[in-house]
Amino acid sequence: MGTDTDILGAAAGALKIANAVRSGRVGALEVTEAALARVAALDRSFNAYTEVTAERARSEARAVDAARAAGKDPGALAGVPYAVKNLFDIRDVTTLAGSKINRGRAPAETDAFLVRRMHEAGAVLTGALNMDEYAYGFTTENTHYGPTRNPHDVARIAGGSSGGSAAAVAGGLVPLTLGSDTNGSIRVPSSLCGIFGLKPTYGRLSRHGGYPFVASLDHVGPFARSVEDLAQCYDVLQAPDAADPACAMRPVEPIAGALGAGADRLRIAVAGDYFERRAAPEALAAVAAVAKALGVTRRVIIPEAARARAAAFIISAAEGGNLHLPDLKSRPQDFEPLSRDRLLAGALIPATWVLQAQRLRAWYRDRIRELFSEVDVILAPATPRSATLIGQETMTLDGETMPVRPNLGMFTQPISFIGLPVLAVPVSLGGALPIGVQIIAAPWRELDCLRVGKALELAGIAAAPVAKQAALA
Amino acid sequence: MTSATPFDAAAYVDAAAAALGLPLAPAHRPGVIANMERIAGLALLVMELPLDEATEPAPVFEP
Repeated sequence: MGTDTDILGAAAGALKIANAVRSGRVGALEVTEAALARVAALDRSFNAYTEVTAERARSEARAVDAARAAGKDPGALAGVPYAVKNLFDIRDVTTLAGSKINRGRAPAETDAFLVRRMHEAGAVLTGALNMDEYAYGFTTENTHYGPTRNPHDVARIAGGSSGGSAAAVAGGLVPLTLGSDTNGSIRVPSSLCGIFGLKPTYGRLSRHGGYPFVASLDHVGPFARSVEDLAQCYDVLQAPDAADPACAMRPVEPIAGALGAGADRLRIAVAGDYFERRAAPEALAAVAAVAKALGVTRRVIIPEAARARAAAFIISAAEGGNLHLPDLKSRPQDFEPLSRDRLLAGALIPATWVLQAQRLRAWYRDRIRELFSEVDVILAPATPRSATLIGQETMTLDGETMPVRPNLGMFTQPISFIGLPVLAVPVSLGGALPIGVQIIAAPWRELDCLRVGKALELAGIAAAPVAKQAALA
Repeated sequence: MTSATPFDAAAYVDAAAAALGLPLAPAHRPGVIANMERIAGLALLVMELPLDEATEPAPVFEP
């Protein structure tokens, strides 16, 4: 019975569950009930979920069990409970995107593209997850729905904007979640919650049926507690989709079977200069631990990273402000107070700043392409420090005091700006609070990121145990 | 924009908001101005990097 208990427990991984369900050792419904019970018991502490879709979950689980009983393939993620950031459309559920304003909208008529992919693979949707309003934030201190709390220390933020997605996985509620990343919204919460998160190449995964923020920079991707689970989920999500204008119509490139190739033949370097300044000791120690484990001594300079970040900031504010201009005109009081004034200012940005930022983006992309002729993978901190306290306004880094909320993304923003694939890996430093490192690869080379992640897992450097508070509950 | 002619975020915000027909509540205006000042500082970083005329904006439209 030990095995069954493991499979029904908070620490069970997605592949372990899928294998058990596919072989008939456990029913999908049994796994689903266990996950729903964990959500009911623990999420009062985390506030990761804004909606629990229990009936849908049971119905999807029964369909998986019926398919298996009928001798059909129940799917690569058969019976795996998961949840999605509440900007993904879920049939019959109103897509909030973290806002009060969208609460007045009709429920979605169909699932988002990625939710359909998960359904077809036999995964079981347990609900929708909290986020910063309209994905404009790095902390998930959502004024309308309350802050999501970090399962490693519930007095602290989970990071954002996909805070619910990271907390649900770190807290052992479900082994897989989906989120989005425009400037760091997968990598920042992954780092602060101590889990793996993948922001694939811009255009790799379809965003169709996801509420947009910055069309130029929006990405979607998965969270998990192991590289294998993340890779399997990513493989399930891959499919060209003409309904997302940014989705590259590339053939699917599955990677889950190739993780064992190791990192030995990859040319890896640590990002210097910008990525070494204004970082807390734990952020630099995490990068150093990863570099040491991989035998990396090389350093590269990503040119003009500060300007890249500035340009990403301007494009984000301008596109976000434009998207929400009708509501900003008619009901500004209904917006999240923490980001409303930034959206209002964004709506007023002169066109020439935005256009220059987009030209700088093309220039910067060309410089980084040159860099990838010399190296395959670049290491950088994911966040400048570990999780801050909920409500904390400022932090001091390298003697400079700055606001927390816009600056948690200082190391992620220059990377997503040109759509590079990044794996956030949680690094075990022995401290109380987790922190992550960005494993950055050339465009379309997600596999390189995950090969390095797998090697770090095998070396015992990267690990994402369920948060102790949750594991004890 | 140079340091000799500092960007007047308050004047700009008021003029641009009026031109766009975007009413700014008195409670929101100081925050909007503070954000515009921050954005203008970032724009300085963006605008001062010389780019040649062949460098097109990144997004490409496919008809």
